[in-house]
Amino acid sequence: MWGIDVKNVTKKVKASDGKSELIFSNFNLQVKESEVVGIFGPNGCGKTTLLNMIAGIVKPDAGEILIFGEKPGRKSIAYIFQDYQNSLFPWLTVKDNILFPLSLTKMKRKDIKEKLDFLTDAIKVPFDLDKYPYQLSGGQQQYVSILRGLISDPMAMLIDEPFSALDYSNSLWLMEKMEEILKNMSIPAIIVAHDLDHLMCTTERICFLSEKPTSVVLEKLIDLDNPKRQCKLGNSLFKEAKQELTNLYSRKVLAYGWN
Amino acid sequence: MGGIEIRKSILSFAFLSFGWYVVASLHLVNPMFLPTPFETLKEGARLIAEKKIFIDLIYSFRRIFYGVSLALIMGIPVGLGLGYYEKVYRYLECILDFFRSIPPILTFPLAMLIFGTGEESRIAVIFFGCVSIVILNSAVGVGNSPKLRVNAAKIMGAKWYQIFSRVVIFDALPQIFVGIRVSLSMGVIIGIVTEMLVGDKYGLGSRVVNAQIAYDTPGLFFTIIIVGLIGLTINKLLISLENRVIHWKKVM
Repeated sequence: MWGIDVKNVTKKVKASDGKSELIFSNFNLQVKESEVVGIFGPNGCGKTTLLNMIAGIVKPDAGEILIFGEKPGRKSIAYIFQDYQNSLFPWLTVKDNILFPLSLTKMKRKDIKEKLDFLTDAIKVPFDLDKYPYQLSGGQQQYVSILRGLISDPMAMLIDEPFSALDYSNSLWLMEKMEEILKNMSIPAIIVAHDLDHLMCTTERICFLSEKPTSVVLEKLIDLDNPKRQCKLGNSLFKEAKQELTNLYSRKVLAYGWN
Repeated sequence: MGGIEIRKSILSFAFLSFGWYVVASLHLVNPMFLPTPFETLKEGARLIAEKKIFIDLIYSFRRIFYGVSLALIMGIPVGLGLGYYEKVYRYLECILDFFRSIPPILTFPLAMLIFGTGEESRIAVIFFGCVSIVILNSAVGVGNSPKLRVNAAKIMGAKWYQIFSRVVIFDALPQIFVGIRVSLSMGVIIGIVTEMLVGDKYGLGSRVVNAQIAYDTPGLFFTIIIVGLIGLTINKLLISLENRVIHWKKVM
């Protein structure tokens, strides 16, 4: 069984001029049970729409999306948004933000506390949980929203451009943290990013999308044990791999191509 | 307000009083219309010693408090609901604007016909003047809050009442507070004007009118100053309360 299975999905959306625009036509994407897949594509190709459909916020016009064999909305999914400031609750402390999904259920206080202890034992949290989100750096806030996603034992994880609202040092910090977390979680995850470096460091497979109507034009497996991945941005092998991908991609997608 | 701001404010008040003193004591304006600060203070001290001003204060306060409180109790939930159900709000927006455009005091005669000349009619007019302000601000607060937070809560499995009580209300709080502040100022204005129009035995508005009839300009000035100070104090208290409650807004 696939962790996330997007089958022959077609989706039209209304553009700003009122016309409906075909974004996906028979789009397919499969994610294994504990695979981390990166999505890379031109602006406006429907990356966020894809995540919204998997999360169940938006319904596809045709086709089917299954998460471990079930329709979206049935199973708990962690969805991390690009805009961490507007997705966290600034009136709650970091701790209450993380516990928010549990506080919506009828779970007992004792069990909730146990859950938090379990999570903070497994994942190091390098800041005070009693602070408010606005007292943390951008990277730390995004980290809080990831922890909030993890607290309810999600079946799958969707991460929408987690780095794009962060400055360079913050995104480096978060990248390392995310790599750690994703390695430990072993659930299917999709990360959307517009920086290849981020995807190469955090994912196992990168899917390159075309322009509308969107399809996967290129897939690239990133070898987990390859030294390219270990040493990240500075390494020459990493640079070579990145160059290779950029070349391949720019020939296939007009928006990135030279001709 | 920090220490420096308080000092600045006191200094500017001192300057204003000094200017007033100069103009009054040089008889640049007929002393009948402009008493000196000392005469005003002396009259004020008498009113305070005889406790008359306190009775007026209590009466005016009570009317304003009841009227504004009723407006808040009704207006905030209605406004939040309208903001949440945007479609309904669109239907009612024009009607709300219509009611808001009527000078509230214009409805005072009607209120007196219905409720008589007692407390009820004054409270009703204050309520009428404030409730549309509260509704509008609460609705706008909900409308302007980021949709992303509501969506995030939905994905986490929040039911509609949880979204409302745990997300929407908090996001609307800053604008609700604007509504509270504006409606309180409005309540003070309406309350005092109703007292001036149809005098009651007690009330700051009645006191001003009575002072005018008696050519008691120091008493008139003192009462005006008291009303101004009350308004200022209410506003400052609310702002400091707001900063404490909505602690996240100062930064963001």
